[in-house]
Amino acid sequence: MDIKVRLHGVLQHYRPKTLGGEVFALDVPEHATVEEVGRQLGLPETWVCLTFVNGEACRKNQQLRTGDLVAFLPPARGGTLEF
Amino acid sequence: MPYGYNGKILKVDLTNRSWEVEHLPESFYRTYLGGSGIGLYYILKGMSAGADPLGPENVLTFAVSVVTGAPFSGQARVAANGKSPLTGAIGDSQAGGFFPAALKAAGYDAIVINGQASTPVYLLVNDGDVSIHDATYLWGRATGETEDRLRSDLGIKDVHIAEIGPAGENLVRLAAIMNMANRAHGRTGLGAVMGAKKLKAIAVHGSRQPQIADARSLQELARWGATHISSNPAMSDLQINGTAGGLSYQQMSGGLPTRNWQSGVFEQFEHISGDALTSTILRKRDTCYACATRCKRVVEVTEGNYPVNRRYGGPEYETIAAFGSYCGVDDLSAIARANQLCNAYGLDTIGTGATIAWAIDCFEHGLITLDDTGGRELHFGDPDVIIELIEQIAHRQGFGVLLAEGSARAACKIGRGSEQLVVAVKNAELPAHMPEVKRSLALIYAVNPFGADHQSSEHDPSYTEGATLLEKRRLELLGLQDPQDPRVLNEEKVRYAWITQKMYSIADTLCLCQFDWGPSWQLYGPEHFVAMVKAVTGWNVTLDELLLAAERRINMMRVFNAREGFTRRDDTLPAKISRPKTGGPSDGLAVAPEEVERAKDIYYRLVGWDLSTGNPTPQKLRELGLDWLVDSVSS
Repeated sequence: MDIKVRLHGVLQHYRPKTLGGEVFALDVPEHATVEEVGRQLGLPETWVCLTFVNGEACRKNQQLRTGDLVAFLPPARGGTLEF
Repeated sequence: MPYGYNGKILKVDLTNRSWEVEHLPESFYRTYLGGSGIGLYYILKGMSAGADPLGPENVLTFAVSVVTGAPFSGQARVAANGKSPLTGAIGDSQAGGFFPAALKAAGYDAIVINGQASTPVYLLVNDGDVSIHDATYLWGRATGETEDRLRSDLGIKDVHIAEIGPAGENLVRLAAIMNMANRAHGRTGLGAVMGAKKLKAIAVHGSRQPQIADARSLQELARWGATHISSNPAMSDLQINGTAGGLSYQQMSGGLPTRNWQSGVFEQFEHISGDALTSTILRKRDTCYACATRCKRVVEVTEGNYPVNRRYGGPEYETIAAFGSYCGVDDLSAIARANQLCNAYGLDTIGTGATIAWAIDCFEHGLITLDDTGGRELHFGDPDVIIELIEQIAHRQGFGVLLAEGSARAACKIGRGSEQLVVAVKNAELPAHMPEVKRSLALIYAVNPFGADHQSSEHDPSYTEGATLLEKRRLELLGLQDPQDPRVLNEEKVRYAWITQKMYSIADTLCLCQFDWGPSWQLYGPEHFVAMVKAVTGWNVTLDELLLAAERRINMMRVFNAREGFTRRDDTLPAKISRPKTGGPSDGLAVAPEEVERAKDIYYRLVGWDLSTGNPTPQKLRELGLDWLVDSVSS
């Protein structure tokens, strides 16, 4: 099914090179979750801080429907640095 | 010769155009470290209570620390302190750039400025030599013009200059002290103090930094930092998108102050986000002395109604929010133009944007009329309003005469209920982080000695279940192992606020950049503070020793305020914060005054301050080795 994706901030670097625009269309499996879309795009799990579907904050296990707009935000602070 | 510092403080008397050099022992530096620690020492010793902040008796200090100028990221900061003409309390503001390291290399750890010149002057400190010169020909000039002219006249390679613009000269209470014409001591109006002293600029040049005790360990620490920026998403985003990168996060969490704090969401936020800035007007990423993070922006606009010159840098998150969402403006070029004007005239972008937002709010509520504004309608969303009002404020013209006093004083003069729309604590306008969604800020905004400040403690998202591994591990080092909901202000949250306030106070005492150095999300964490100070100074310090120095700084500030008559009742949030916000994730959210009062009770007990006055007790001051201040709070 086709959905729309918006990557914010540093996550924009994971936008597929073949897909242009701030909001891009993506073909994902039926009933895919937000988390699975992130994985499909190669977003490092710990770099995703907030997720939204159609402007509403959501959990990462939320299932998507055709035409949904998913947004991924990095943390404004924090990371996964090992020390 | 000590490691890391010069052991010398320069004391200047502008009234007599004289100066003296004070030599201080290691024990002084180990007690006060630098920054506002050193600044407050001289201010409390040299200024009587009740001094006019715009009179000769105010003491203005510029202090770096025992580690400034050493080669690692995040040490390029200088603290300015004095009595604030905006708040009447202690003024405190840090700036970055190349001036801090140059001041250290010029041979001094601080400059203490007393008195008032009869005509405009500038101060030159060149490799230890001091001189005071006529600056009449620079008076009235913008900051960039002042820098260029002075640099050309002096003919000294690598001279660095701190200066005021017309706003400081005109004693605008929102005036900033700038350096490089784009790095600001923005908050608390210290530009007006410099203007009152008729001190247009301070030029510093030096050819030699103090020696480092353990250069190899410091080099390892510096390399570690430089290589770990890219693996920390917050630091990486800071490098790519600057502080503006946080704007989308604020919006999505309902914490982006909009239309003078009526709402926490701005419908057009995508037009002013960090992504928008990076993809449209960004021309270059700039840095401060020896820093690998490169978070500073250089922007340019060559077409349209709002041209922007690279000379004045680029807007930070706070500036974008203050002239953008606060004022309902979604034109990024206009916001960048507003930033340029503030930097050129020497104005605090937060205070100026917030004061303009208050004026618009008042106009839309009928509390300010066309008679007040000189016939100009003020509406949210009109970019020309912010540009015109900045001009009027900086030059104290028209309606700007009133606004140059800051929103709280302006509201007192206007009356008509306009006081209810002011968003300030101790007269200092709130920065763009909302305590409604980050509740510990409600407490810190209230109790902070120099007014509401977002850089004085860690924010709530770092202490939630959803925080990152890095944040959790680092906070555990500080004994913080019980994450909380970001919207509660309970006992554990007060403890979090106080512990992280002390950590941020270490950064401000050591003059460290809070984006590189801090308790949790930043590049370097608590353990690095100790390793770094050891490497630079050779002192066998512990984190507890540094925390004590940090606590000393906060208490000295509170003693200053106590002498000026400040008490618990001044630790109060504005009425707007207790009114429900509309729209988005923060719809209906408000902070009840009783919630803050309860948190203050817990906080005062925790920090050892008197419950009824909120001032440090004699016992607390003795614990901190500040016996010499006990009489100040006893009398």
